[in-house]
Order: sequence, then structure tokens, then C-alpha cells
Amino acid sequence: MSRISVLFASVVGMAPTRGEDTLPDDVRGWDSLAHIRLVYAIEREFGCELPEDLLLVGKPLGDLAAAVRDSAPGA
Amino acid sequence: MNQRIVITRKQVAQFAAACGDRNPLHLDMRYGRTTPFGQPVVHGVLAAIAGLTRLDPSILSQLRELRLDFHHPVFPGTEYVIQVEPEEQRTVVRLLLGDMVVISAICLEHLSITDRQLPVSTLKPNLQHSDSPEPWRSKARELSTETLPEVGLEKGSYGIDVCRMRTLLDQFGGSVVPTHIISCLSWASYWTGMHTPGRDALLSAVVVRLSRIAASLACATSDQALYQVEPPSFHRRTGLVRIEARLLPSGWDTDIAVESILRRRAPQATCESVARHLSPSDQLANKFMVVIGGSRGLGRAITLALVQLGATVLVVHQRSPERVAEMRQDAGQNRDRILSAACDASDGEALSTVLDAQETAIDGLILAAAPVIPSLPFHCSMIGPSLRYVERALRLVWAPIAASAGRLKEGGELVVISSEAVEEPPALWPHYVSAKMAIEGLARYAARQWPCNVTIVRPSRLWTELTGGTTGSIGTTPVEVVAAHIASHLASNQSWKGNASLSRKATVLSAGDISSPTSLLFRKDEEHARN
Repeated sequence: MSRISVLFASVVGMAPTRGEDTLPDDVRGWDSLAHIRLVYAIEREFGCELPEDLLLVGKPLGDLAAAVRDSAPGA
Repeated sequence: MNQRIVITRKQVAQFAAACGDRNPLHLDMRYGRTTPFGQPVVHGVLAAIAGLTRLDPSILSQLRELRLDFHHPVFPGTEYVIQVEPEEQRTVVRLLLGDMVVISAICLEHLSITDRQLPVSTLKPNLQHSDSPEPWRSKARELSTETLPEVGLEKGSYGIDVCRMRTLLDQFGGSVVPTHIISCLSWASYWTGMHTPGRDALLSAVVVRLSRIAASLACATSDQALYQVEPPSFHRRTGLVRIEARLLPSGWDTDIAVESILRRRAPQATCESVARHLSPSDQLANKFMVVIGGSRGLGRAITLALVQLGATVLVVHQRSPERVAEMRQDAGQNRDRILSAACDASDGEALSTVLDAQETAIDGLILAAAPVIPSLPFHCSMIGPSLRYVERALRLVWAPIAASAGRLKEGGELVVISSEAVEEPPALWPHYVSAKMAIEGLARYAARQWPCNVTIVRPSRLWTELTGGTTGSIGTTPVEVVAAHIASHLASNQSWKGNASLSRKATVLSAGDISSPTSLLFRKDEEHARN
């Protein structure tokens, strides 16, 4: 499981069911508060700053992962 | 076994007095109305403690770790279900609304090894009396994104009014929650609501880890607990605040981690903020417009935009005369073109009286009032509350349209505010999208049956005091942009130029039409120049 997926599972309370294609509608606990925690956890873990449009819940997990890869190659 | 619970406003006031968390979000009706909840809400910690009373006393006496998550607000007078579920090595208590988890409490008899989400400090700071202890606050500290990062280490002593607290908790029946647990949770509520982040806080999680110590160690007095709070960590862009603290209630050493959100209050539209999106003109000179809900949010921006184009606007508000006074002052030489009427717009008869008192017929009616939007799950037990919401929302459109019959000029303008959400309904808003679709249906009825131009506006997410948003303006369209588009659209009314062109069909302005800062305005300006 990728580091993003591990973070996701620890914050949201369950693994991303569809990998990077996972959407908030797929995981019951991925609400706006969980998303804020996820952003916080990702930025701390990878030392990056996610783009503004990813601060709001809605995009698939893959978009967060891609943003991390763009900001920190090798993550 | 599931049990039902209702927490009353009186119990909220009793809890505030017993624990010291007098944050206006819980006690001040006027303040509550300016929040996304539309009314004061119950302290999350009070609802959680009420849930803990359903645990077996043996679990409570052996409790060593407790994690509370606050997912949604608890409203006074609303019935919730408390569910207790024993799981392997832990017990979970949930406060449910339908099948939606509002609060969850995870209770462990042993300390867990790690908690990645909300780590508790393993530091054991020196908890001696401070030379300058934090004062006991009776008014909530107001920290902002600028001042919060400046908060350093803070120490003091804290105690609940045990007698008052017991009198309150006895009303819930069930087991007696030990005083040291109540003290820790009450401190978390007090600290979040009164100190950090203070007034604009929303408590989102608390983790308490408890260890027994000799009762005589490090206690200020038997009913006061010393505490030390590490400097908060703050994620500016999301508003997430985390603090770690140590509290010493009699006989216990506790590590407490508290997570909260610093709410950002949406700025109200001003003449200046509207003028950045709309040039002044006389396109609507001598037009008399009525804006229902025109004192705040999108309605306020629409009012100012219409005034900017020369209209005279009657602002109908329920109880915000000071806001209209502020708008008039802001409008300077245009102040006399902003009129004010206090009226419950969902009361058609009352609104008819207000409209009758005006000296002129109405050129345009803009319906911008809407109730605050609670999150309601799509669940059998929520049918009643959901339909009550739909009725409240629909009344705020139905009554003004009915009241304006015979008062809205032929060829006049009727504008209703719908939402982009009708195309992509959010999970916990079935009532919201139902209400908006009903409102759109009514607008279409008016377009067909009345000699007026009807416009349905479907803005994307806005940042107003009623829609909240911890991330501030991110991902939202400024109300001024939407208002500028609406005002410009009205100014292009052909029938006002003598070219009656009633289509008998409502025009829909979708989010794409009204979110760009310039495109539609440019087009309208061109049309205006041509005409």
C-alpha cells in the first residue's frame, strides 16, 4: 500500500476501496473534517503544500497523490 | 441497546455554568444566527458525557483512554439516539441522527500504543504553579489566523462546579461518570471555546489518556486541577488547530490532545467590494426593487449591486435593522435609495402589508432569503425534519411571490436563487436539493402564469456566514460576482426599454454563466451599448 493509502487509512479509518480512484462517495468516513485531517497529515508527512483546489473534499485520492508526486519526486 | 436523548437549551446553560465554556456559539441566540448552524448548538462535550452515562459503571471506572470525534453539531431540542457497541478490547458509544454518526466516543481500558491522527505528547512538563497563570475567562478570547500562531505555552488551574455538574448529569440518568473524566472533557471544552482558538472555535476531537497518581501530588487544591498547554500547532489554510496539554485532576495525571477548527467569518459585501465587479450606471434609475433577505450574504450583495445601477431597493429582513443601517451608511450619497422593512418574509399577509405601504409598484422582486442548511441523512427517521426544512425554504419564496401579486409591474423581474447543487446533490443535503427544485418549479409556474420575466439563478458554492467554510474563500465564488451578474442581467430587461418580450419561460443562469468575473458583464455591456 502506498504511503498516501496508509495515511488515508489512519485518518479516515478504512483503506481506500478503489485505490487512487477512490472518491469521497466511496468511503463513508471521508467527510470534510476527515479531508482537512488528511491534508494536514499529507503535508506533514511529505513536507509539501497541496494546491488550493485539493483543500476541499471532492477530488479522487489519486489527485492528492499526484500533487504530492509533483511537489516531492520519489514520494 | 439504543436509547433516545434530547438536550435542552436549559441544560446547555447549566453545562456552561458548571464547566465555564460560555462560548456564544452555545449561549447567544443572536450570535448563533450568524453561524452556519443558524442557532446556538449544544456543547459537543456535554452530548458526549450524556452518551457516556449509558456505559456500564465498570467500564467507566477502568477507563484509561477516551477518544471523542465530533462530526456534526448537536442541536438543542433535537432527538438523537445513543448507541453503545462493545467491540474487541474497546467500547464505542455513538450519538446518531438517523444513521449519521454525530459524535463517536471510543473507550479503552488500556492506553493504545499509537494514535497517528491525534498524538498525545509524551512530555512530562513541569506543572508547578506559574507566576502568571492564565486567567479564568468569562468572555471568549478571539484569536485569528494572524494571532493564533503567536500563542505560547500556557499554564493555570481549572475546576468544574461539581455540584452543579452532578445536578445536570443526574437528569440523564444512567451511570455516574467519574469526576476526573468529566473534568478532563470539560477542560477541553472550556479551553477550546474560551481560550484557544476561543470564540470562533469548533471542537472536532479530544483524546484523553489517564494514569493514576497519588491524590496529593501536584493538585492546586482538591477541586482545582493544574494544567499546562503546549503552544498550539496551526494549519493556516484549513484552520485546523491542535493542542497538547497535561491536566492533573485529583488523583490522576492526564494527557489531553484537542483538535478544533478556527472558523473564518465571511466578510459582508460592501459598496466598494461590489464596485470591483460592477461599474456604476443609471441603467436601473427609477426602478423600485424588493430584495427579500437583502441584509446579508448574497442578498446584501445583490442589493448593493442594484443600487450601484441606480435602483431604489427595499431590503426586507427579519431582524437585522442594524445591518441595513450599516449598508445605508456605507452607501453614502446613495443611502436614500436603500429602504428597510423588518418582516418575516414567510408570512405572506405580513409581507403584503409591508408592500402595500410602499408608494410605488414593484419593478423587480429578488428572493434571496433561505434557511440555514443542516446536514440530514436520507433516512426514515429524518423524513419529518427534512420536509419541515423544505417547507421553511419554500415558504420564503412562495409567500413573497404570492404577496407581490398585483404589485409586481407587468414586464417586471422575478429572481429566485437556486443552487448548482441541484445538478450534483451533496450526500447529506437531500432536503436542500428538494427545496431548491420545488422553488424552481414555483418560479416556472410564475413565468407561465404571470406577466413577468422570471430568472432562476444557480450559483456554485458561495462563502457566506450561513454556508460557513473553514477554508475561507477557497473554492467559492464571491457573492459580489454573482450579484453583479444578476444586476447586469436585470438591467438588460428589454421590456423596460419598451420592447416587451415575455417568454413565459424562466431563464436559468447556471453557475458557469455567473461565476466568471467578466464574461457575462462584458456581453451585457455590449448589448446595452447596442441598444
